[in-house]
Amino acid sequence: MAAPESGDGNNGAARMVTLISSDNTRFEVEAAAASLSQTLQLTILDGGGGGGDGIPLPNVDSATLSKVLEYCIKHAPAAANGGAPNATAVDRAELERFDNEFVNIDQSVLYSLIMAAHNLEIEGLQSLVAKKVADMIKGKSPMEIRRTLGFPDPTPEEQAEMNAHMLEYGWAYE
Amino acid sequence: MKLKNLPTDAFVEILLRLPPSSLWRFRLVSRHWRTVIDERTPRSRPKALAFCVNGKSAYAYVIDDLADGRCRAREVWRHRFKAMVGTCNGLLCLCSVSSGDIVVVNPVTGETLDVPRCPAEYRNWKAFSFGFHLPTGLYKIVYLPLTYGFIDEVQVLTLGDASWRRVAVAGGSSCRLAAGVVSVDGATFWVTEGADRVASFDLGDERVRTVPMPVEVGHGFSCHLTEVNGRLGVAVISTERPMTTTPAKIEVWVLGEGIIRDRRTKWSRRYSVQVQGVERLLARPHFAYGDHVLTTDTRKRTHTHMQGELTKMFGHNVGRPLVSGEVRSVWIREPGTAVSGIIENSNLRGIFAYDETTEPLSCYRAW
Repeated sequence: MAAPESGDGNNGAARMVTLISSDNTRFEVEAAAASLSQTLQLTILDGGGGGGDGIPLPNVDSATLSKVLEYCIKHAPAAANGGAPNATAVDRAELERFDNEFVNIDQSVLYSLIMAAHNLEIEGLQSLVAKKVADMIKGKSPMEIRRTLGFPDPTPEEQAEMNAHMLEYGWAYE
Repeated sequence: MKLKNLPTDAFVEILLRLPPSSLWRFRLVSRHWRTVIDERTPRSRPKALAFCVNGKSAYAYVIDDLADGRCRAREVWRHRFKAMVGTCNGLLCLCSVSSGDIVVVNPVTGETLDVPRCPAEYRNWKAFSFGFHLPTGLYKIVYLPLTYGFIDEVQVLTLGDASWRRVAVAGGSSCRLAAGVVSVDGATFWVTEGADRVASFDLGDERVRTVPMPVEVGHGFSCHLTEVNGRLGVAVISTERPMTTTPAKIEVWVLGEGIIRDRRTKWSRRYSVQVQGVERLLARPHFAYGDHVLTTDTRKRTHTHMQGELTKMFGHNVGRPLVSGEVRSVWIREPGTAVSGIIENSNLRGIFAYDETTEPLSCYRAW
C-alpha cells in the first residue's frame, strides 16, 4: 500500500492500533483502516490505541468486529485516495464484488453489522447494509415484509388493512 | 436479534434508500413503521430541474433555492442523450433523439440504467413518458405509437421487466403531441388531436379514460399539459395578440381528484396569469414551485432546427402558496430574477420537478 503523501513523516511502516471487543479479544489493525470509523478516527488522531493500550469497544463482540475490520481493511486504500478518483475499473469492480459477497449473510449477522456500523459511524458500511435491507424489502407486500423481517402475527386491525391493500393491488406482486 | 428491532436512526437510513413514494405502502407493515415513516421521512417540496442542450451534450441543472434572490443553477447531470422524457421521484428518464434509446439515471448516486428498446417503430421522443404508480411502487415508461395523430395501442415498460408490453386502446384515441405527454399522480396524460378532451392512461389498471377539456380551446388559443403541485394541470393560452409571442392571458386548470375516474371528474381553475410589459411564458411542463413560478423569455426563439427556447429563465415570487380551492391571479409585470449558472449558447428543453433521492437503480437491472 502506498504511504499517504502527508503521512506522519517517519518510516514506511504503517501505524497500527489495537481494538478490544466486548468479549476482550484484541485486534491489531492499521490506523488507516480503523479510521474509516468516524468514532475511532478522533481517538486515533489524538494518538490513542497504540502500544499496549488498545481502544475498548464495549458494544461490539469479536465476531462482529472481525467482520467490520474485514470491510475496513478492504476499503481503506480506496478511502485514502479520496474516494479513488484514479482507481481503475478493475479495482472498482473488485470492491463491488467484495461488497455484494460481504452482505450475503444471515439476518442476525446483518443486524449486528448495522448496529456496529452505527455505533462506529462507518459511513460506507452503514450505506452498504442499509441498501441490503432496502433490497430485501423492496417490491414486497406489507405481509411479506413482516415475514421477511420476523415480525410476530399482525393484530386483526393491521391484518384488515393489509387485506384491503392486497385486494386492490395484489396483482402488482405476481 | 432480528431486523425488526433496529434502532430508529438505522431504520430511517434504510427507508431513505427506498423509493420515497413506495413508503406509502410500507406504512401498512406496522404501527411503528407508520409512525417512523410519517415523522422521520421528508415530505419534500420538489425543486426545479432545468434541462438544456447544446451541440455537444445535454445538461441538467437544479435550482436549489428560488427565493434566495440569485436563482443559481447547479449542474447535476450531463449526458449525450438530448431529450428528457420526464422526471419521477428524483430519477431522470433521458432519450436519444435520433434512436429512441432510453436511459434512467439517478444524479445523486450517479447510477444509470439502460432500458430495453421499445419494439414499436420510433418516431418522436415526445411520445414517451415516465411515471410512477404510488400504490404498487412501480415505475413505468409509456410510448404512444402515433400514426397521423391516432393511436390504437400503448406500449408500456415496467422498470425491471425485460420487455415492453402492448396494451390495446379500446376504440382508439388521438394525441396532440404539441400539448405534451405528462405523467403525474399514477397516470400518463395527453390531449386529443382536436384538443377537446384530455386522455389518461392509468399506470395501475392500464386503462384509457378521457374527460372533456375544462374550456373550449378554439381559434386563437393553444393549450399544453403541466403539473401543479403533484396534480395534472392544463394551461390554456390566448394567443390572439398579433405580432407577438407573449400571450394575452394564461388560465391554468387542475384536475380535481388528480386522476380521471369517470365522467364526473371535475376541473378547477387555479391560476389566472396576466403577462404585461415583459415577454414571458410559463415554463413547461412544470412551472409552479411553492410561492414561485418560473417563466421563460419568449423573444429570442431560435428559428433553426433547434427546438426549444434559448436558455433564459426567470423566477417570480407570487406571494403565499396557493390554498386549495382558490383562484390565484398572477401578474407577471416584472422581469423576475434571471436564473444564473447555465452554460452559454444552450437551449432550454424544459423545466421539471426534482427531488433528490438515493434510491438505487441496480434492482431494476433484472433483465
